[in-house]
Order: sequence, then structure tokens, then C-alpha cells
Amino acid sequence: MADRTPLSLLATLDHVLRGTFLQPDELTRGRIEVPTRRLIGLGLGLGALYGVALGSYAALRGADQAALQILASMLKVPLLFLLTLAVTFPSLYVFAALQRLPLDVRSTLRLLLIAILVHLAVIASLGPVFAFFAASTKSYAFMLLLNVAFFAIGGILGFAVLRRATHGMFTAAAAEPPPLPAPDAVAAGEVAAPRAHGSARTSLAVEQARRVLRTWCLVYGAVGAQMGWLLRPFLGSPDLPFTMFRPREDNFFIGVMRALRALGGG
Amino acid sequence: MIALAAERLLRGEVADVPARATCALVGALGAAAMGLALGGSSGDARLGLFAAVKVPMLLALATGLCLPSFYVVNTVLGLRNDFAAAWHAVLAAQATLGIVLGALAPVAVFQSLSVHDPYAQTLLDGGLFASATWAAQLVLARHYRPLIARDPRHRYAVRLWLVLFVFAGIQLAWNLRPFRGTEGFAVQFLRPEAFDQNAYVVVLEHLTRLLR
Repeated sequence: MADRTPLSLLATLDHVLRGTFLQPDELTRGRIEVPTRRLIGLGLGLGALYGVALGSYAALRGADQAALQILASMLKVPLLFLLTLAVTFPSLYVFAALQRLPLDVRSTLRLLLIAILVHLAVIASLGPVFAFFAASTKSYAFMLLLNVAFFAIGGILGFAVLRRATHGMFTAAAAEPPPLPAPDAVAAGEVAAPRAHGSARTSLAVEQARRVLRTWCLVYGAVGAQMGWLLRPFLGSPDLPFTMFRPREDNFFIGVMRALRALGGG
Repeated sequence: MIALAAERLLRGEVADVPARATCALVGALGAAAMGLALGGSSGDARLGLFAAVKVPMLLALATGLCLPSFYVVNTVLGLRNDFAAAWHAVLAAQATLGIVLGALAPVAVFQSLSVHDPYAQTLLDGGLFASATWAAQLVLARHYRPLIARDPRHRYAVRLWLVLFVFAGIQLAWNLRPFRGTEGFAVQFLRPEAFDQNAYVVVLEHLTRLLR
């Protein structure tokens, strides 16, 4: 990809969403050729776009310093992904290496960048729906839960991209013939002639890789949720003065339970 | 021409679906007829006109709101090459929704004449919209069948579309009230508190109150 004519931003995003950058044969060789800087730029842009949708709640509900809240949300959405990645990347890389995924540090990072970009693109595409609800909803708890739901939908699709990539990696590896032993060794009976054990080995490897991915995604999701809690407010409550960060208290899960109770009138 | 297009939408297979502009026109006309029936039941022509504008607006805006995510989800699922067909299927379903609403317009008029409790009327109107949505899903399923046969992932995309469309549509319908006039209230395009309430929160509050 790198030696081709540079793609426009939209074309790059299109390639990411279509999975063009994740070709199984390239992945098997541990290579992911992507315009990294452009992907980072796109990620910042999409995050900022969803940040505008989040901040629109403050603007439309007459919260304190709504413009600042929009700006803060535009900065904090990309920051949330960046910090979550920084915290969870080392563990993913170690687990992936233990499972013998053929990706080095840089390629693993690029793979995650692609998955994060998909996540961001999905939530940015849900931005108009969020902004519409922001225009017609007073309930802070409802908007909070809607944001959590949209992040979850984006996360599931991002996870699907990772899953597809790891599956592709192993199926492509299985399609390639295993390296042949020296003919002399086979003739001497020291080494058995190669047999087709590919599919059994592949399904086991794919299953193991999926298990690692699932575990890591759980960790990523939990860290991301708590990171979001630490970076709050993203919406800006109309009843509270603007602040860049709220004091550290409770955690994401308690916050969600509280929002659910508030929604139920409790 | 309109009747023929409607007939092709209701009975036809994928190849018979009219052009996109025709789908939009047929759907808008049917929805406007339902709007006219709802608004006109108040006896005020202005309200009839407002509702005749608002029902097609409801369908168009809800579709427009959900379109970006539908596009992105299709692309992420690897279904971009089928997107034109998927979008055409959705448009055909939306047009069918409009047609069925139009066909139910006389029922709405009958309802207005025979039911006088406003809460019962609202509930019955909801039933009419729900049955029109169900009918539209039959067309959507018919058009999606070959797509799903080609790639089962289309099933996820269309389900997500449905959930999001209904979710946004219910709130939008709440915002665009009143479709029927309420006795003692001035005739208006939108209620002054149109954007102050969330339909789901209101329903939840009512349920909570009922359960206490």
C-alpha cells in the first residue's frame, strides 16, 4: 500500500471499514501496511466529531459554558482511546506473542489502530442520532446510558474486525504448505512425510487466538469504561458548573447503576 | 403511475422495485394521507395540513438519522458491494410503510369518529403505526432474502437497522406531536415542549408510577 498513490482521507477510511488493509496473506507474514499518520489523523477527526455530538447535549440544554464543554469533549474522546490503548497494549502484545500470532509490536499496534478506527467510525456515524436525542431529552441519565450503548455497539464492531483478522491470519497460514523436510531425512525414515494436519491445527490455533482476543477485549472494555469515567464529563450536566474533570469517586459500573436508578425514578 | 408503483412494491420481487425517487414519492403520499386523516379528525384544516407534512417528515428524518450508521455497519461487515441493493431494499420498505399507512388512513378516520377517549386513540394510533411497520418489514425481509442467501452477515446489518430506526422513530414521533389535535389546545405545528421530553423516559416514569 505504501508505494501507491496516497489515498484521500475518505478513501483511507473506506479501506479501513472494508478491511482492505487486513489481507490474510499479508497478516500471515506479520505485515500490515497502513498509512499510520493518516489513520491517527482520521481517528482524531472521528473522535472529535463524536465529541461534538456529545457536547451538543450541554449546548442544547443550556449547560454552563457549553462551548467549552464541546471543545473538551472533542479532545477527550480521542484521548480516551489513546489512554486506553496505552494501558492495555502491553498485555495484548504479550498474550498475542504467547499465542504465536505472527505480528510484531508495530504490526500489532497497527491492527489495533484499525480496530479503534472502526470503533470511532461507528460511534461517529451514530453521532447524528445522539445529537437528535440530545435535542429532545432533558434526562441526563438517559443520555449517559445512550452514550454507553453507542460505545458498546462500536466496541462490538471493532472487536469483530480483530476477530476477522485473527481468523484470516490462521486460515491463510494453514493454506500455505508446511515447509518440507529434507528428502534424505524422509527416505531414511527419520522424519515422516508431510500430511494434511493443517485444518485441525488451524482450528485449534484460531480458537486459542479467539480466547485471547475475547479476554483482552474484556480487559480493554473494562479499562476503557473506567477511563471514560475518569475523563468525565463528556456530556456536561445542565445542573453542574463546567469542569474539565470531575473529582475521582466511585467507578463506571456504579455510575451506570446510578443512571439506571435515576431513569427509573429512584 | 403511482398506483402501479405501489402495486409493484407490494406484490413484486426485488427486480420489480420502482426507482428510488418513485419509492420516495409513493411512500410520502401514503404517509401524507395518514397525516391528513389524523390531523383532519380535529376538524381543523390547518392541523390536517400540519400532520400531512409531519408524517412523511417523520419517516424521512428517521431514515436520514439512521443512514450514516447503516452505511458504516454495512461497510464494516464487509457488505459494501451490496450496499446499493441493501439501501434500495430499505427504501422499498419505507415506501411500503407509507403505502400501508395510507391504506390505514380510513381506519384512522373511523377510529376518530368512534373512539372519544384521547388515551385510547393514542394507543390505537400506535397500533396502526406498529402494524404498518410490521407490514413494511415483510417487504424488507423479501428484498433481503437474496442478500442474506449471498452473505448471512446481512442479517445483522438489517437487524441493527430495524432496532435503530424504531428507536429513533419513536422519539421523533414524540417530538413531532401533535398528530391529532387535543381539545382545549391551540392548533400548532409542534408543541412548545416538543424537545423537552424523551418518550422512553416518560414511558418509564409512567411504568414506575404504576408499579409503586
